[in-house]
Amino acid sequence: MMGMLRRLGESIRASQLWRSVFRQGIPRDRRSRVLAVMGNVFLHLHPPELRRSGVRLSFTWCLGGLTFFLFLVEAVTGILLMFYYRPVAEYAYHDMVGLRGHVSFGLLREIHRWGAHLMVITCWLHLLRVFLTGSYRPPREFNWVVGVCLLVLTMLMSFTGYLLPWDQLALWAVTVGTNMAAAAPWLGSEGPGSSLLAVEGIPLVHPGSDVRFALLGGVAVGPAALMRFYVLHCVALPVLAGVLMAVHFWRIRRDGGISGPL
Amino acid sequence: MIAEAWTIDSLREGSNWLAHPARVMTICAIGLVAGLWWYRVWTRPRWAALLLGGLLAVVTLAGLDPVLRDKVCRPDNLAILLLVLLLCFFVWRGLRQAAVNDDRAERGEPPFEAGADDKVLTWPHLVFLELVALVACSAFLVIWSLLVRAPLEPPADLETVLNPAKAPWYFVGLQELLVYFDPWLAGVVLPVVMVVGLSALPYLDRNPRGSGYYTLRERPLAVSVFLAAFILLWMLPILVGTFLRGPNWTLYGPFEPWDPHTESPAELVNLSAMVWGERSEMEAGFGAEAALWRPVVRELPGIVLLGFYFLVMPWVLSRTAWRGLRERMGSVRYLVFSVLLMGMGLVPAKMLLRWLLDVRYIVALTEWSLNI
Repeated sequence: MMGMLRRLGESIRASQLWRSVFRQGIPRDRRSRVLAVMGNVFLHLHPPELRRSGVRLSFTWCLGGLTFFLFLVEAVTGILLMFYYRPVAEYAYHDMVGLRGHVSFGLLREIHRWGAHLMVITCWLHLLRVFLTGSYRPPREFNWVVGVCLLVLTMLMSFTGYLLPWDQLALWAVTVGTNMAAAAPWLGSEGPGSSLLAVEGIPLVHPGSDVRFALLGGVAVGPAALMRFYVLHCVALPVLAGVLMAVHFWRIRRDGGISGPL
Repeated sequence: MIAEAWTIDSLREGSNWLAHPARVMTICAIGLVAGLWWYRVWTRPRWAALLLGGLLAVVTLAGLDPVLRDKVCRPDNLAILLLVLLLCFFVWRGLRQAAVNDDRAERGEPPFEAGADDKVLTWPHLVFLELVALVACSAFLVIWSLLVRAPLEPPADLETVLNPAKAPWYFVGLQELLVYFDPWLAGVVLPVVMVVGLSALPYLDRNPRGSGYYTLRERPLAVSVFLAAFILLWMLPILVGTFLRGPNWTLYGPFEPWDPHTESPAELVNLSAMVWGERSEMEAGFGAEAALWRPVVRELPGIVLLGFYFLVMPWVLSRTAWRGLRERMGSVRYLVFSVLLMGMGLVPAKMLLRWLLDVRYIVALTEWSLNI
């Protein structure tokens, strides 16, 4: 019986179909292990070899990798949530209630929300780790800057998502946050300097034309803000983050891989 | 029994008294300085275990109180608790590995992470580690999702104002800064300073040592400034804003229930009023023919103070204590560094002025909504 299974397995692995997908057998020797990494588009993010200290769990704690993984989790659960959710003031809240009770495997929203919190956490801790190991030193300066941009984007993605449940918590949290935009110097109607931007006594920057208005599509959080935040949350910010992540990972390789003592 | 009840009550009252931002901040600042000074002692596993035990005991004891539990155990707050725990762990591990490396450096040995030629294959070493981390993270996330439902409150309604209205937890720190600063500073300028400062770090830190391994001895200034900013100015306001601020953003002790009550607001004074007194001619600038220079003259004390703080102090420091730093950095880097550092220092400085002298604004150019 066992012999038969073994022979079956061997013939599957010898078949043209199998070999067209997996070029290598199970990587057992050095050469095939190197090829396994180099020949795989996903593993190819890594160099075939790395320094022993960099692979130690207590050096990186996998925090950057986990942040990326959580981004993927958010993308997958987010796409599934988009099947059910309509970013229209009349429907949004009802769709949330529906997600809670009527959709089978009703963990989607939980995984998406807690995953987002977890991603903010791993992102901050990744920053702390990279700082404490002095890994932003030349030649990695620019990659640190890219990382800071990704940190800001992570928080903005989380913030724009916070409005989408369209409940009291969401509405007032986003009201608090976006009111700050109205206080931006020059660009916000309540900020310093905006009163100086006037032509013949008519102000250029007023509640109907400042940055908060651009963000919300109105002077307060309303249906227009819901649509804007939805588009930012589902399309604009993730695409931007995706591009920056590609740069971030590419630069890790270009700048000499995982950092270590010189 | 009576004695016990008295002890618990006085513990509660003591904690409520202690939970004022000024006292919390002072205690944490002292703790941070002590922790960085004696980092080789307390990070030893035995001491750290003792500290962890103490922390857990306090948390458990405090968690017995229903009022506090009600505030802490809101679904979104669990992320903050998780972050605090993880932050304690990573700061400990980071300083522990720094202590190990610094001991090695003193004995003339290379850091623990040394050995550039010492390579391992990605498959299986790293791939396996990543798989384990990924599975563990997924399991954690699924369990968290099974145990805690995502919150859903009543539908959005602009007519019914939520009180307290709090920003998402990662922005509550900025909201807490609104107590001390106008929105243009707390919500716009200070976050920009933070992001720009973070981005500028690798270009300002010219220290050639301590690259690619944990260490404190070889870069004491960088590590202590960063940890102080992260823990005292970023994490602590988040905790204060989330757990100690109730309706109308009033301060409540951890064991005080959030029943809305109107607290008589503290009498705050502007720095200019403290210097000039409430002299009427100084306030005359509000009139229709208000000359541009009048408010500026009125606010001269604060402007001079800020000028001294942002310009003279860095200059004096560059001639004295930070002479070496300035020479290593060069003039341009030192200028950027001092502006960013002083911008960051404005936060605790304003807090101190508020707590000690009840200062509302250092510079109150209310005419142009330019209050600092």
